Amino acid sequence: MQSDDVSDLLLYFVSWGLCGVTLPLKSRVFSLLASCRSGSDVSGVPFATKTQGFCRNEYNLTGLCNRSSCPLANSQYATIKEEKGQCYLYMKVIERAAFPRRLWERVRLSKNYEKALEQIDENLIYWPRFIRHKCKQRFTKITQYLIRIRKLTLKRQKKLVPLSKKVERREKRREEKALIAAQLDNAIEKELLERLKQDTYGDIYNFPIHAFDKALEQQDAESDSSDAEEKDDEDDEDTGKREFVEDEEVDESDISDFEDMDKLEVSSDDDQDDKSSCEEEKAFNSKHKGKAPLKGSLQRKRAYVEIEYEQETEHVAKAKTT
Amino acid sequence: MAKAGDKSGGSGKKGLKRKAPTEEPQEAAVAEDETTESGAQPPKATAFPPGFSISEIKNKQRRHLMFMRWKQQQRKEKLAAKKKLKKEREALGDKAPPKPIPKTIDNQRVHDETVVDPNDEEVAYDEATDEFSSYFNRQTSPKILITTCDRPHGRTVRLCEQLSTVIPNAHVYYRRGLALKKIIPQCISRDFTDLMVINEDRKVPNGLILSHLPNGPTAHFKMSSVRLRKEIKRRGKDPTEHIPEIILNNFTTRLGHSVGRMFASLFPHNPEFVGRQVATFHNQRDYIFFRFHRYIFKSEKKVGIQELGPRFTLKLRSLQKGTFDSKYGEYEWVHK
Repeated sequence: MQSDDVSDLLLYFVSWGLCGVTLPLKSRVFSLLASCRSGSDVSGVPFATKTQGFCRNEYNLTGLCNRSSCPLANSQYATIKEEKGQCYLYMKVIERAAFPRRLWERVRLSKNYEKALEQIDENLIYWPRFIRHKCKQRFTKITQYLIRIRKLTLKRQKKLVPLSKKVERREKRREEKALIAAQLDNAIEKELLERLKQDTYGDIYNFPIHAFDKALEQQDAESDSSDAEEKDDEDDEDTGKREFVEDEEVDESDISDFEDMDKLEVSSDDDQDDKSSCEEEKAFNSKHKGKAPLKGSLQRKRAYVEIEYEQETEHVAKAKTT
Repeated sequence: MAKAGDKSGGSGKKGLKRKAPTEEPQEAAVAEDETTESGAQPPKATAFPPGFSISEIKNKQRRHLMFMRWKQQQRKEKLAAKKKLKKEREALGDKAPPKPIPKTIDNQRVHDETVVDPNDEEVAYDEATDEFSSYFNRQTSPKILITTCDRPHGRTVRLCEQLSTVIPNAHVYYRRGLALKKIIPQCISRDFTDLMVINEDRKVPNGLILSHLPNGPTAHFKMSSVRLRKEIKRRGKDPTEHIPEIILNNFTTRLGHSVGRMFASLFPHNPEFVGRQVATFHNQRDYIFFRFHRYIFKSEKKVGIQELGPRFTLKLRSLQKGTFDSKYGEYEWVHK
């Protein structure tokens, strides 16, 4: 049984008659209001500010805890409630006070704002103007926030992703270990030196000595092995043959240029070729190298790098990708 | 019963001294009785009942004590073994077998079948026809747009500026609450080839979205250990306008290939070697370390490098096929 002002009066008259006992009506109502205000979760702490209490009842029209806006304290009451974008007008009258199941009458309001306002007016005709006014106000507010929701969903929505502390800690540690394992400086230096060796930098850097030395060593190795073979052959073939060999007069003082040395070598080579009856064709390089021991003493006396002419290999593409 | 047995075993295992400082007053009385006995006997091997492990002792202090003792013994044995090995090596001298190679994660890795073989035709064909082919055929040159998430703080803004000096032809734009999906068509119409968005959390940059523009893949990375220029020790002067070289290390798998190409397509083709600057993306155990250095060749076998520029590490979170679309995008790879 709802204990509001009318039913309280009824109760008063029914139970006590007119025996003059005054029921503490006001205290009853205040206890009602208090019960609205204090929620079940926090005992003793009112859901209120210093001047104003808030009502937790879902059917409350204004949200404040007052005598006039408490749905429990008033036998005739109306609210606007919104469910999934649809607005409904809920009404409660004294006639249905005995039937809790059918207590609240629900009317669906139209989606058109003006039509809905008319509907409210028509349903709440002859009702106290406070409730009518507050219903319309509440309805306006609800439509406004529904419009805002629709607008916001079209815009970007930030998704908050929770970070797992354990995972974060683990990844951080793994990153540190990976950094140590990577040995970045060494890797970068190695890569740069590789690129230098493979001649991607072209002519910018003048460090050809290393490359040439290597090539020289390679050539030496080849020629020594081939020289050994040919010397054996030569010995076998040349026994008994007569040759007229040019005298090798090479003055150091006369020689000033590398080019001259080369020419001299080449010319002496040619002479040798003409005069020698050795029919075996020797590769130019090995012939050249064959001269080396003879010229070796000369070579050692001055800093002389033997220049070989090799075919240039094609440049590797400069932009490298793995 | 177990406790008594355990105690006797314990005292048998170690000498008398161990017991004295660590015993509780209760056990002290009992211990005194036992120490006289064990003093007479030589210490023998542990007399635990079979199937008994230290973890079954209920008393925490006692359990801890036994564990410590066991640990110390293990350490002693290990040290003794090491010394013995060392002696043997010295005794053998030159004939000693070579030192065993220590096992590292990188050594022990299970062979990944997606590692790309350099001669793989299928991969070569794929790469000739994918979204980066136009870059690698020199048809397009990169133009990068760098932006942040909403309301960036100082660190992020400065990182964006520094990145724009590192990557040639990069422009920084302030994001004013615009949706990425709306930015992308505008970028495409202005001929941008790549979009970089640096995400921020609590005033620190923590994410990077790299999207190749016409319709290319979008990679989302987690960014960590960001160091701005002023925080780098022993750094060189600011980078010049020369186009840097790129080094991409260890991008071996198929996924690594696509990510590597993505990074490569950020930089123009013609690195200016005069500038002597190099940007490195080094992949180690799925962490991509970015560094920017200036190098100088001191001789043909020695090079000196000096770090300029910001540094950070990236970890790939997801690779999506089209441009940025988190809801309806087709994800090629997602980090689980």
